[in-house]
Amino acid sequence: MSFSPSVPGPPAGSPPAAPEARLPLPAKAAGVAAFFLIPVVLQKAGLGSAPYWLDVLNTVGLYAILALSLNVILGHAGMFHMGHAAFFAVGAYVTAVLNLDCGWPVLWTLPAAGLAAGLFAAVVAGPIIHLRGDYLLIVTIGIVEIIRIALTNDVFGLTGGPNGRMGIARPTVFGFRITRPQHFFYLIWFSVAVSLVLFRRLELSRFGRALRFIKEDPVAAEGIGINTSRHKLLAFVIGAVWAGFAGTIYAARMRTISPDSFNFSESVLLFTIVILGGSGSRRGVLLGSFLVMGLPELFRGFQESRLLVFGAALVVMMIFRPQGLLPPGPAAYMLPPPWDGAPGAGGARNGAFGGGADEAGGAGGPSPPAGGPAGTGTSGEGR
Amino acid sequence: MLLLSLNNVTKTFGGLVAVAGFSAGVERGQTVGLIGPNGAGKTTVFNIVTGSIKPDAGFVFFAGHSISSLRPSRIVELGIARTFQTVRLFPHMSVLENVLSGRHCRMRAGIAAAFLRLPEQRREERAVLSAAMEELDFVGLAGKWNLPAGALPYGDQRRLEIARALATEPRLLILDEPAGGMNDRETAELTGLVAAVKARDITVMLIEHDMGFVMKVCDRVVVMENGALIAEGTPDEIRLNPKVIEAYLGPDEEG
Repeated sequence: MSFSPSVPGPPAGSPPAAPEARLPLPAKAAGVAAFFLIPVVLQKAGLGSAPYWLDVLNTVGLYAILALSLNVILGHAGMFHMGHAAFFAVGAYVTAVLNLDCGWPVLWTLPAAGLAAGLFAAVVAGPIIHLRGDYLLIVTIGIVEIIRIALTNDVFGLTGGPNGRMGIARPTVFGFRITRPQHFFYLIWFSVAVSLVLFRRLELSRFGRALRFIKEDPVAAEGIGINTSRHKLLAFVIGAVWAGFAGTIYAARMRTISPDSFNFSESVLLFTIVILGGSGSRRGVLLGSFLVMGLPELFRGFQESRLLVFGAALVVMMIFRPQGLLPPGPAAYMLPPPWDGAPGAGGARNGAFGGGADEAGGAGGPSPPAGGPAGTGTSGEGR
Repeated sequence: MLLLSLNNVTKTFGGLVAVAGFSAGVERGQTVGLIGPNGAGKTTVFNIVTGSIKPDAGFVFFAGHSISSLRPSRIVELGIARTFQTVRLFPHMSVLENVLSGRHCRMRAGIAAAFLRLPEQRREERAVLSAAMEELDFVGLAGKWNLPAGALPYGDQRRLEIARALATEPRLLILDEPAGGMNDRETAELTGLVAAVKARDITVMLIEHDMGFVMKVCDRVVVMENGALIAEGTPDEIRLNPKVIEAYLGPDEEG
């Protein structure tokens, strides 16, 4: 992975990005439905290891939410942020404190956790937002270390020191207590689906475009009327709010949180997920979460050396596919009349963006247009 | 009334004085050429006007605002758009998206509106696509809207830069060597394009070394040398100005 301050899309002359296969809506819906049936199937199969695999999927889902939020900062805005665990930690501890000390029901702490993480991000990112590339990277590592040390030292007497806080209540949804892995499966993966839909909308908006302009050329972006500092800061805050939400879910699931859960290596994992999966691509990040969080579990057969095998796989990946496994495809726009018949509407894209099959759907409707199908069927994005 | 005025603007880089007490004004509706030998400080003046460089001394006023301390994006909002001396598009993004970048400052939708996909936000997105396509049509690139900007031929890239700048709805358009690197045919097309921009009641200020082009499109010409203004007038006046001839051809020694 390159640490130069600017890593926009593939360099000229590199092989074209892989086409993002766009599944028809029914196939997507079926895929999502099948996915959400996994717990039922695992249960019926009567495997003794069912809860274990559900737990693995839950971890994957939680990291998917975190990585999707990091993707806004790292993937879209192109800022090398390696301290995402700090925002995650703020969310988790806010939930723990509000639940244990103030008696709030766990899921009610969600907005507070997001808000606190977002505020924290606004405060710490403000002074460093102008830093570029590796400089920003180093400072964000500092942030996550500061948080970890503060938590370990029982800051404000609220964080419980090295042992952390324990005994966080089980969450309830409409009176239903969420206790077992299969319950958490639905809570977590529903959150993943919501995140995917919302971040897709963000990508196709004025704000999402602004981040991509900034990533591609910050000087040109500022020179054409985009307030780069403001948008970079907003990207940080949005990413942090989401990481804070994930913190609430994490606290609810683990019931015990301690500073060790939010150390630097967690941040590195999240960074890896985004870069490996495909910076800026939601489905890439989702795939990355499966690979980085799920694959090591499959490699358990290698026992001690499983992380070594995993590391080797990563190295090979980065050599042969530095843009990530599923890099983002070009944004598709459907022109409003009278432009919808503009020459080159569909055909040009295929040749030009080197994808081919991607938008081969045709001139009439490259898929997610600005004014198009409003949020319908988006929940299957990325699978 | 002057749309843009520079008062005693000075900028030094290290020991080098790039712009020294430069004052000039641009009236609304004019097309003004800024010329001078290499290193005269022309691009520095443009960078000061567009906010990417802050002057050490002096002031820049645009339509009643003092803009010399504002950030570039704010200056674009006030109505000054620019193109760059070397093409500076977003090469991996489509031609259309490049123009959309210019519409950004005229849009309102925020993050919440995008998350909720409010009707207003969707309306705005539709309107902005139309507006962007109109600008592409204006420069003759509508048929290439879906190509990556980096895949366009050089002349098209320059025109796309102009379309992107026009998308910001500028009152003053600043072109830094728009004909640089263009062949005769492309330059002739550019002459027509600048005239069309002017017909939209947009004031134009440009740096250009192609004197034929400058004399053809400009109403007034400002000449700089060593960071200072040495002459100002209509193209005909400038053509005959001895100081300008000296600046370009050197002092009249051997006759």
